[in-house]
Amino acid sequence: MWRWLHQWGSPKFFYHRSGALIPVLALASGLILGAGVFWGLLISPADYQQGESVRIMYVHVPAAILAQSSYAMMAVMALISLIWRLKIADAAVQTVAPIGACITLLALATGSLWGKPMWGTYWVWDARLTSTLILFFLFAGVLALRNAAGQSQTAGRAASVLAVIGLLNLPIIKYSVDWWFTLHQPASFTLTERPAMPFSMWGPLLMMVVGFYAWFFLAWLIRLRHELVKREVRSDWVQQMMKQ
Amino acid sequence: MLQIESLSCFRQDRCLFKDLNAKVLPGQALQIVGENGSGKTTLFKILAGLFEEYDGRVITAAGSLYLGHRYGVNDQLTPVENLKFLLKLNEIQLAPGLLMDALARFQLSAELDQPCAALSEGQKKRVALARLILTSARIWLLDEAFSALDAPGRAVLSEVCQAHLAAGGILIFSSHQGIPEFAAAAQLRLEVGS
Amino acid sequence: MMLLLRELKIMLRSPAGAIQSLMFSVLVIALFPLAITPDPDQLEPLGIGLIWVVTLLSCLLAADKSLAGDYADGSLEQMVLSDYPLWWVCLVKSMAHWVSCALPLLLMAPILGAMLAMPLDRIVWLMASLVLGSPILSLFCMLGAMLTVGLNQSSALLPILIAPFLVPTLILGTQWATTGGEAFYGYMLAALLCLSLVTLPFATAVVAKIAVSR
Repeated sequence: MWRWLHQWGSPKFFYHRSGALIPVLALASGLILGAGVFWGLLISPADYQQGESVRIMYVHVPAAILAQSSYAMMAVMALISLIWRLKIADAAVQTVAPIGACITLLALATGSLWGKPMWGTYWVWDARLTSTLILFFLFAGVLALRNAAGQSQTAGRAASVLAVIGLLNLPIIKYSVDWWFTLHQPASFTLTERPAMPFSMWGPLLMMVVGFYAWFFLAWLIRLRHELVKREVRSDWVQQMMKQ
Repeated sequence: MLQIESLSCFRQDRCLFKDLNAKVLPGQALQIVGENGSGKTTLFKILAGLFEEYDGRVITAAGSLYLGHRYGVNDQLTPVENLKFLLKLNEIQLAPGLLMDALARFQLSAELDQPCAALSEGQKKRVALARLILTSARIWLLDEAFSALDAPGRAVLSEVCQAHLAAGGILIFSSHQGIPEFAAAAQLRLEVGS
Repeated sequence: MMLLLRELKIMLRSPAGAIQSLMFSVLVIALFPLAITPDPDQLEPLGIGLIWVVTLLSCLLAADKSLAGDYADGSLEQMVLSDYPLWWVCLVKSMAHWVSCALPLLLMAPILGAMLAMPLDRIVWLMASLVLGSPILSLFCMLGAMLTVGLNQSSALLPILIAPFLVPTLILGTQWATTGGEAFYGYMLAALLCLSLVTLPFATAVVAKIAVSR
């Protein structure tokens, strides 16, 4: 099995084999997201407390989940590129960082928009939003370091180390922000008390989450293949491909 | 003994050198020859252990001392303090008298009490070179060590290097100017884009 | 030990950096009453937080200076090549940063607290929290400095990279001081300090090897 995994570490193998995945992912994400949007934003019931504005949840929650897991995926790729020195892992880190940053921004923006009807202001320092903001800064840090250090291999390694340290610190940051929030929580916030969601609500939510993930992997795969071609532009297989 | 086997290095998509082979025995010197940008400094860094992204093997049988373009002399400390620190990095602790003798050999006896900021570039380099006299490293990696020195300074450095070779050490150096005492040394030529 | 003495000697002979960061902090603290209000009742609850933030900022700003000097003159390379364990070198550099940047601020805290109308017992707890928390700041700042050493805009980049990691220390430190020493935060802060002391020098050593191979 190791040998099979090892094959995927070669840019040429990865490029040629992953091409087949793209139409699959595109179709899946298109269908699932489309269905989820239709179900969640149009058909599903309005919340008895929040009215129609609860529908932002169908975008905000998947984005928030994806923001965190994309950071974890980036850090795992970074760890792989550091330990096994795989160039494809380094390319993976480079290509996923902007996607993750944008998803985090989306989560922040939708969270803020959701806050207006719920709490009356566009920004509120609750634990989750604050953690998401810090997550955005973690992404921005990795992006900034990569940018400043140039294209060399050592630049990639420094940014990878930063990503791994970020992942290790993430639980500590989340815990401390949680404590900070529960201490200063004004009495009117009752975010912890939510009635159980009916299927008509968590159904579309689940669909949106799956659809978001499918779209995320699609975007990452396209970017990664593009980056691999860019990096290996002088090698034989790319030259041959370009001649066709 | 130092041996290089099939050493190749790529930096930022450029091939610096490919399939280098060399073997240097105790008492021998090797000169790395090449124009600016041909990868000399990277090769020195690989030999010193500072750079690890290469293919091939480097086998060293003894500890090495590396002096690159920037030689580790801090402006706030005096020459004696700098020398003491550089030697202590290799766990060598000596009496101040010996340090001053080494500095004197490189014609630095008057300015020993001032911080190195008051010295010229050539003088600072000689502070770093004084370490060569007192070190116990068997392999010396001197990248452009002869540059920025005046003729007496180069003469002292040549003497020190020759004494090192006579005692069974290894010297690997690069120099844009020819060094007459080492004209007969083996050469490793790096071509740009080879 | 000799490494630490060297760092301290260098720092003492050119104290401009340490004095500058001290002046910066005093200036920023002075700006707050000017910008908000001189009313002591409104300033006092903010005092602990403001002084913590100012400490954090000046640690960040001072961090890359000493390392930049060592990188430029080649000492960093020689330290990486030396027989000393690299994590020890990084730990010593963090200690030197703490002595040059955080310690003066710690000693200045009573004056800063007085400028923000804080009573003495709160100032004492503030200093206690800084004693436990500022070494953590120094350790992270040294990690950030090593990540950005030799890069073009390193002093602007460093805060962006490291600030998120300083949030837990900031929260725990300020909470411990504000609640007048509630044991939970003290233990958590001490635990964070131990964790940082044991892990960050090694992480910084890994980054140091990357830095000198640029």
